[in-house]
Amino acid sequence: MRALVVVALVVAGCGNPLVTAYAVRQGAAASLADVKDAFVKADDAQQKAIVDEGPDRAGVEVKLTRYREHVQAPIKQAIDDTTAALAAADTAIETAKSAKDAGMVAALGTLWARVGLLVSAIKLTGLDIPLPSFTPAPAAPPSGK
Amino acid sequence: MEELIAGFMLAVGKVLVNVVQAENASKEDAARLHEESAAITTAALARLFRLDAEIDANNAAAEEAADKKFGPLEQGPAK
Repeated sequence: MRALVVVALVVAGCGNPLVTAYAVRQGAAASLADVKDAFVKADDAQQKAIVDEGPDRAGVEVKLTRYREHVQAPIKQAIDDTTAALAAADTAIETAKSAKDAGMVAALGTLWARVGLLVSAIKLTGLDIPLPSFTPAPAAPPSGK
Repeated sequence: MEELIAGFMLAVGKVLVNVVQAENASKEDAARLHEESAAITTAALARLFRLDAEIDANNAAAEEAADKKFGPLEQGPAK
């Protein structure tokens, strides 16, 4: 579904790739931030559950450490990596001087797919992270060529 | 005949005016979309850059809750 939205945006923005780039960038940014917030919330709940269920202090520490190494750290790394990709795309858009410079649209499509994959990966860990809702962009204006 | 030519010229003029207006509107829309997109992205990045601090806070809260429930670890938290 998200891929279709991206494709539709790219098609709609054919006359002005920069406008498409704006839409994809803001959609990916807002969704990734929502994913991050949901992860932080789920992470907190997960650690609290470990403490609640733990048999003793040493046992809880072992479980917390295992959780942090095998679940928390990889997800945090994935979010950090995607954030870096987003920041790079943001810089590319801000420095683009014309629609011809906006070849980053494809890269933004990849970024968007990455956000989706990240959510899927988090869901596979059993943490209940909701899928991001894409913020629909306003219709692309007619080409200003 | 002259009226016909005048009417035709008037129609062409109107079309040209519409085209110019469309061009200007397009640029204004693009500029507005750019501003909106940049603002949303900047705000999202600010939220994302807080991840380290928020995870650290979660870890600290869990350690504190465990200490409260079971007493402190004799050798400190596992690294």
